Amino acid sequence: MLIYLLKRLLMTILVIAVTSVIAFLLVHLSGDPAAAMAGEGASPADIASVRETFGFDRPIVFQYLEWVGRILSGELGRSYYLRMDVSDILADHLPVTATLGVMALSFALLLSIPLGVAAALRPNTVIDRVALWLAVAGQALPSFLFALGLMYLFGVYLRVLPISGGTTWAHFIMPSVALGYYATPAIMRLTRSGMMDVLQSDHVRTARAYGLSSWRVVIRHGLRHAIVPVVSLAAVQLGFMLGGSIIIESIFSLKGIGYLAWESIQRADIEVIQAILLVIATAYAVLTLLADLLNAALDPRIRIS
Amino acid sequence: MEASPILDVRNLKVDIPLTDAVLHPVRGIDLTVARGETVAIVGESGCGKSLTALAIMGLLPRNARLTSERIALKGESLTSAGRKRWRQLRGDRIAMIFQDPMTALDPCYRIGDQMREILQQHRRVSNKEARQRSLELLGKVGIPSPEDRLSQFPHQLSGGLRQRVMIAMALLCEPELIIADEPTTALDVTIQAQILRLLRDIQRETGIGLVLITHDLGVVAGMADRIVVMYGGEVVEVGACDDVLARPLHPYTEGLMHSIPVPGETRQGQTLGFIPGVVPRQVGELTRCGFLERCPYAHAKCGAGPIALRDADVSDGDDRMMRCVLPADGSGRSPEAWVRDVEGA
Repeated sequence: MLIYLLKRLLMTILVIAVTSVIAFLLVHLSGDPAAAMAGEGASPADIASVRETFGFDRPIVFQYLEWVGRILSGELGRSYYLRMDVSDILADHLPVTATLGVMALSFALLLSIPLGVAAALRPNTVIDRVALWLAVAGQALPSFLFALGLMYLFGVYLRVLPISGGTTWAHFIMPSVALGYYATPAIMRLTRSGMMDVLQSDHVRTARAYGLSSWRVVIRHGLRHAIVPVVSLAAVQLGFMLGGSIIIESIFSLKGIGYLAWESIQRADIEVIQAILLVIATAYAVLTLLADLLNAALDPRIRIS
Repeated sequence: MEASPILDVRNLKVDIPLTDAVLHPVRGIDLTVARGETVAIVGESGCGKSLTALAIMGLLPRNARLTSERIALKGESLTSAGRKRWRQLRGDRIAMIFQDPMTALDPCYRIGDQMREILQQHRRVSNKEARQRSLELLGKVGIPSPEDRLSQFPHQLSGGLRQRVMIAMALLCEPELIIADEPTTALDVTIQAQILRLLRDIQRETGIGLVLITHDLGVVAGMADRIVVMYGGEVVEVGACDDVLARPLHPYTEGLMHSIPVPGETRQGQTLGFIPGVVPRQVGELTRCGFLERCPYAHAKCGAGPIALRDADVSDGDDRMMRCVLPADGSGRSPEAWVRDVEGA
């Protein structure tokens, strides 16, 4: 188990290191940062001066190592546009995105896993059809349209939920549903197919042959097996929600990471963009690690060879 | 001994409706198992023996339809029993041992947890009592250092040990009947003999009824009291074990016997007998002998109509039944019929 843990930890660090290189290169190769910072209409002399001030004229490897060194010592840099420390900016925006992501994933799991299990237990019945229909609708409906529909129904027509901002937890309900609904179909289909497989397996037949109650058979001897790939998928989905919720954040005026990334790209605020890329990549890697550890806890064959 | 048998099955049928036809994998089986008796159900893949077992356990797949005149366990009729009653009986009064011990145990739980779960499903026992009982049974089925095994996962045990664990699980609630479905097929040959001996010893010691399902007549010798030979969803021959093995009456049983090498008799290089063809798909009602296509003695009478299971009028046993029109005294057939085809080819 210890060896497994160390291996996975090493992999995670490697992934973060590689992404940091890519993040850095992408930002520096996508345009001349000095020109972008100097702004439109700046003279070549201005640009050259900016380039020298911020050190963009030095070799890129040198710049990268310096950046990494700074980050490792806890220094994320300063936004030239907002004239604030990047760590302070992230501290403002991260909790919003994290709240949104966790609530959205919880909603998705609470909806899709019971539906997937029910569909697997009664294939080709009404409940299976309804689940399938929900899945198809979830995949086909653009999230902004769904979000606008929710806003109209609960915010404008019924007036039960706030439609904009992120000051109370109630503000997060609609955005979470809109974001989470998009993750529902994949999780539900995976749960369903996993349950269908495991319900056919020999050890489930054994559990039935020994008179265990249906609940025990389905949950303890079925879902525990079927949930393993779902855990991995959910980790990726959560990572995606943390990084890719720009649309939902914009619609509901939530000042999250996605919104910040979008603004920063427009301002060519490279210190912020790099930090966001790194944070999201790290979140992905850590979530994947957590998913692997959770799966090792669920299935002893992963941890004991 | 005339008390009601442990298991009494009459005219058990399993139908599986398909979109275009109805499959009849089990076409009306009678089966009785007395206390302390071992009955072997013998037949090749697809003859309906495993479905018969599942039907007796109430574990048929959802799309299968079960009909029977009688299924009774120790006199209690189960023909109209609900799902709940079946579930109470399973693992408690009837236990089942499966073919592949590698997959039959849940890989996610420790041996001790799986045994405790079964015991606590049927008995009000504390964790400590369950542990005691599990230890006792693991020791009884010959598992070394049972204390350690309780905390191990199935994948940490060898195939032979896992099958012993299955047997221990079957014995947890002291059932009246154990159904063993090909319990040794997935094991190494050396382990097979050990497991069979264990089953036989336990059966003799406890007096439970044992239904042994196998395709291997070699497994049956020395194990079973009676043999029921199945072919194509029907019983084709019934008799005391020694009688059937010494003098098979139905051509199918005869074919099975000729496909087993006999130590000391079968010469090296000698062609073993085999039964040509495969079990036909069981669609529609039978209108003639089900074994017709594969039988070396087939003649006009065999195609005239379905063949009834009849008392075989032979001297060596009062319980012999056969589903064949041939005379039971063995006249009109030659054992070479089973190898002739190969040598001619």
